[in-house]
Amino acid sequence: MTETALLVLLNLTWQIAALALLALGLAIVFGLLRILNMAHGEFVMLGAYAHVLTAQLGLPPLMAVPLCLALVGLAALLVERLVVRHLYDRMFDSLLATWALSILMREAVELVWGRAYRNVALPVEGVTELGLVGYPTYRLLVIAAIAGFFLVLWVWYRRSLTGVRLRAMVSNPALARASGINTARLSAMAFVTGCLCAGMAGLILAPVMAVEPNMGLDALIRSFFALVVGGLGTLEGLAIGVAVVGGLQAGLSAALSQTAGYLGVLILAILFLWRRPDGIYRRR
Amino acid sequence: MLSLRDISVGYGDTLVLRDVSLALQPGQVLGVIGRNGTGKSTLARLIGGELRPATGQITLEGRDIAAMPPWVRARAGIAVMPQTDMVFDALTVAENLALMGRVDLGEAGERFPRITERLTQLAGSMSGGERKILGFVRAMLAPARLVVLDEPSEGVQAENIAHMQALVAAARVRGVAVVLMEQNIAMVEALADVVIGLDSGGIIYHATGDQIDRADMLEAISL
Repeated sequence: MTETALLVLLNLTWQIAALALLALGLAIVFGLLRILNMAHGEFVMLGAYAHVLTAQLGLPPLMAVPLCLALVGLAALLVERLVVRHLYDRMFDSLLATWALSILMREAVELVWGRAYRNVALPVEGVTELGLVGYPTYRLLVIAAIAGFFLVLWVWYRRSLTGVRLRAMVSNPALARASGINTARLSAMAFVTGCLCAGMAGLILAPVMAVEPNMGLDALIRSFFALVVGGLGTLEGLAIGVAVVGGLQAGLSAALSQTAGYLGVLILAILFLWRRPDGIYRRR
Repeated sequence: MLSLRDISVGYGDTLVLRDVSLALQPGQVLGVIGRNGTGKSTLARLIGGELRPATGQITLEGRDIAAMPPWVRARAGIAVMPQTDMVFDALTVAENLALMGRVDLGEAGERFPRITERLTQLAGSMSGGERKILGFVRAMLAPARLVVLDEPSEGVQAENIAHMQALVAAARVRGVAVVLMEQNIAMVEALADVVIGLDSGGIIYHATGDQIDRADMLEAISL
């Protein structure tokens, strides 16, 4: 394998892993609750700003992790209690409400931190030599962590009793309640978990992204396209979607230009929405 | 154990049952008969907690449960098998059973070997009759003091209906109370200690013990 081919392969893997991380929260919330969380990108943004807040407070960089969990978790809990809880089974209303929420969150962050772009330092510097090429160590660590996390999540979802309860709630909510499952609490847990995944995506990817109040929009659009192509509502669909969308974008960007990468993904998503709205992997 | 007093219940402004009263003791089987649309499933949903009464009182062992959500009722000992969507289609047979906290099927496994043979199969890929049996087994395996069965025999072979009857009879011996909504008069006659017939939003037939008569029941549901 030539140096260029190996580098393209690594970049492709990085793009797919980063997109998987970005889209996971959206997939969890939509898959389990049938709510298209338009504020998903803003939770990603909030996670990224945990770095900024940590620096402002003069805390060690690692403190950004608990700060992110607390900030995003609290925001998600409030949103679930005050807004989303009242809109389950009302997909269009929840879409509008979370869209309004996304604007509010962007404006609030802009009010506190301004519009300026922020730079976040890489927590792990340096390059790891992989035979023919060197690749940023941070990216390699993130790829490995995401792959491990997805594997654990899939096993937990398929094998644990809470995973079975979640799937029961999605399959037949009334029977789930009649079986002693507190679906209201499970729904709240699913929403907060989805938002925490978004926040952690922002936190992890902040060093390689432009951190600014509007950064969430790109995250939402790319995540949505991945879910549309892969199939809304399943981990399998998410995996397929991020592989296809991330792969296509990385491939076209490398071969032609970044604009061609975005255009290719847009055309693919439109084709899927038009011809195959359930995506590649349909929910059983 | 279960008591309904002057209960009216329905959907929105439309009442399906009006001023219904009944009582059930531990170990008793209450047969509820009636044509389609007479309120049998509404009564099941009321007891299960999916519907709240517009008026009247519903108590379980003396405790008012009108405002109690379904999942709390389930944990308080009420198991419900709905008439439709009685299993989790997206889960395997084993997962459907695991949610009731049981792995060992006991007598149910012996009577319905098809269930134990298909533990890894998705419930949604089973036939209508098999799904009914699985829904029935789920309800009967629950650690419940009151089991509500909404038309369990519908679409089930005669041989398996006999097995269902045996399991209900065994539950009754253990002190479990059963509310059996059925159009299968033979099954009701074989099991019920008390029978009520529903029509026009109320109870049009009531019989206990020796008063329970197949001809009277058939007449009641054909009105």
